[in-house]
Amino acid sequence: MNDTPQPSDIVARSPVMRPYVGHEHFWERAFSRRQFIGAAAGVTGALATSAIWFPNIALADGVATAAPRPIPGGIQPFGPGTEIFHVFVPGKGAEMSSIFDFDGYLGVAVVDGTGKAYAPGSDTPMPLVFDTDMRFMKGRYIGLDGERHRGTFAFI
Amino acid sequence: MPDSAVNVNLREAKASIRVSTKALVDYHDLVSALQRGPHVPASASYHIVWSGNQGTQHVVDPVNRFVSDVIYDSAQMEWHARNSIGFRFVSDPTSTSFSLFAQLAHERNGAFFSS
Repeated sequence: MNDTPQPSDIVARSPVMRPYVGHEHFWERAFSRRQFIGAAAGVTGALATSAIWFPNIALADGVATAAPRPIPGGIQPFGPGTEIFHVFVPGKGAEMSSIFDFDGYLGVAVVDGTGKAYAPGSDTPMPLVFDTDMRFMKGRYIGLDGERHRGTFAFI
Repeated sequence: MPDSAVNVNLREAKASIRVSTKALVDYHDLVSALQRGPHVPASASYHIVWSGNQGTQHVVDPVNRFVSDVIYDSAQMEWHARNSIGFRFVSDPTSTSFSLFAQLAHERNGAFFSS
């Protein structure tokens, strides 16, 4: 039995996110093309997803002075009862912020493109495509400390 | 990133974000990342630009407690990254990327929500 989430599972199994019919392309592709680049020397047509690089769903910058509160809802990619990731799939009318008690500017960019990868120690380029879901949140927020702050955050 | 990394002009439906050498970790793939699996130190730089106005929407969601004035537009980006074991990725120039979904908005949620 294979417990690894399948591409269609990532969205469909998430009861928390069902209120939205979001833009599922990034998340579906990200899961379906997990043959990524690091160990794929000589392989072309693999995928560089931004998510492989991500440090956290919401990345606090070095300037914000207090951690923000995540939105209450989100996706549960591994099914009911598993960890909630406090972000929704991009889509019209959906909550695109990943932080709560927030008042400010928000940007979302689901962008695809091409590029070149280089295996460790090699200067031979391997053509790859990338598929990203990038966001920013800039404004005032109430931090986990209960105080008001200003800050800029990125989701990558 | 400093606040100056993000520039927004909603009136013109434009924005940009420029991040240089942001320390991250490379989980290899998304499943591994969501499971907080094996990873190595990495860094990434990226530049994204938003432009164009393809429609607007005023969204009020009392269930999820947010209100948002949204401009749907287009975005393009370029980026590069490398990890500690020497793997590198360099995207092609911004103009070669294509936008699948993009929006800019002013949003209020949680304690700042009021319909």
